[in-house]
Amino acid sequence: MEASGHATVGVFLVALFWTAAIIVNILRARAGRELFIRRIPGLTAVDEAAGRSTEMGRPIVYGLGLMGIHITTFASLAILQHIIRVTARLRTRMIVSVCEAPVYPIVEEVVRDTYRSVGEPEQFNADDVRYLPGGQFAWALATMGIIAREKAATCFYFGWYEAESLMLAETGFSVGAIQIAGTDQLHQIPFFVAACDYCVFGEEYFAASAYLSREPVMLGSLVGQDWSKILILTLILLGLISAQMVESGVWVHNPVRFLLDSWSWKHFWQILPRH
Amino acid sequence: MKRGLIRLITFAAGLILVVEYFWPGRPGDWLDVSRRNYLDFTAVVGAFGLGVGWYQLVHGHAVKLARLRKGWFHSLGFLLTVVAAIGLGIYTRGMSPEHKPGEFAGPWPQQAWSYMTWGLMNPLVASVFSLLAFYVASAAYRAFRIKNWEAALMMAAAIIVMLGQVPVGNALTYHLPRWGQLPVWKTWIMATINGSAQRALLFGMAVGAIATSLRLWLGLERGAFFERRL
Repeated sequence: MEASGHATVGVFLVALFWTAAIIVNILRARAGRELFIRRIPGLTAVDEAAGRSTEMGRPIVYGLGLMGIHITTFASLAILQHIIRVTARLRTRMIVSVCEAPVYPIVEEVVRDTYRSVGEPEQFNADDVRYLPGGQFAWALATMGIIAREKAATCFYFGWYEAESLMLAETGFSVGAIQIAGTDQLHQIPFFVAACDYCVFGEEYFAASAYLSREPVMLGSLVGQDWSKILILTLILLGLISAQMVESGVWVHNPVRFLLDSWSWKHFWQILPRH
Repeated sequence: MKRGLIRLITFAAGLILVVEYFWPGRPGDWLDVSRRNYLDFTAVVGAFGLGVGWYQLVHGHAVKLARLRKGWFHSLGFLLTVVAAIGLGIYTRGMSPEHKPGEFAGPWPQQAWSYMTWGLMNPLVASVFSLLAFYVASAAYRAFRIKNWEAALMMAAAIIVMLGQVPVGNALTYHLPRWGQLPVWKTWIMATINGSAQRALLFGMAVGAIATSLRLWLGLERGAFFERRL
């Protein structure tokens, strides 16, 4: 967990705008403003998948992935809490598999507290929060064994996954489970898309807690996030154009004169295709 | 009160790293030293989590063995392996400086540890990894169906990339002009189209990760972390 370098003035200004955008939108949400968020099929299906487990009388298996104390794991915990709130009322058994030791006490505490918060503390079973050490494939094989033996009806894979992602998904498919996966790992997205029923990736993964809870504060932060994205995209576009101008040699010290000079524009469009 | 205390501790803990990142200091100054101490502290706290996790594991298997529940022999095997691995690991303190991976030399505890690690664990991991090829074939056979033009486009791209990656693709098209060679097409697809899409995904993920981190740091994330009542 080493910090990567040091911030520049530009990074500081962008971070300032970012934080301000999020806080402003949170305040707007708290003031009662309706904020729109588009539908995310993978997250909409979470409740349906949990209900399927209840109907079939088979448990849910939730894989937290490989990473330890990391933002990916915390985002997964937020989704886990939502699923527990749904399944607790339906009295469906849930088995959570954990790979990393530092995360295990956090996960156990989160699961216990969530059951308690919905008024079902007796449903918490410490044996169903399983610490499965031994590395990537040991954890994956142990989780695959749980899915196969318990004949899970629903499998959730939310977290940091690597090569074992497809093995888990294929095992879930072999027992007829409905599978929903979410990860921020770029290279595992194709495997989850091919093998799972629903896939949540990229930004949607981190938006899950806001999407599922529908809390105004969380939605507000999502909108602030989108504002920041627009700013960064604008900066990228401006940087791209100015880089082309500088490289093509048509940039002049007086940008206003440059913009008004038709010869400069003609030369710019001639140079652009070369780059 | 408890919720406020949790938020305060979370904010203070994150503040150290945020200030260190943005403050225009120099390597070796008090902020840099604080960050390093903070990271060491995090590692120590994480080690306590290791103890908790192992206690739960050993306790669960010990109870299963003591009560001779179904599958008790698996628990016995697990406990014996744990004792052997931890005992040998502590006795040998890992590898001696002159020991090379794959060499089963030295006193018997060292040999036993080497066999356990290099002779058993590593080949097992490699075997499991190799299973992935069959899983990929199985998933691809099941998932790749040309139902519409988008699926057809994806299939065409997959065929070009797969053939372009292997020597067979090069052998099939090396006599053609450069624009007709499969490896060239593969490179263009991966670098231009796929690369752009990956960057777009990474961009979104980074934005989402920073926003989630900010919510956690400021205590805005709802849930059991901050004792949300339903």
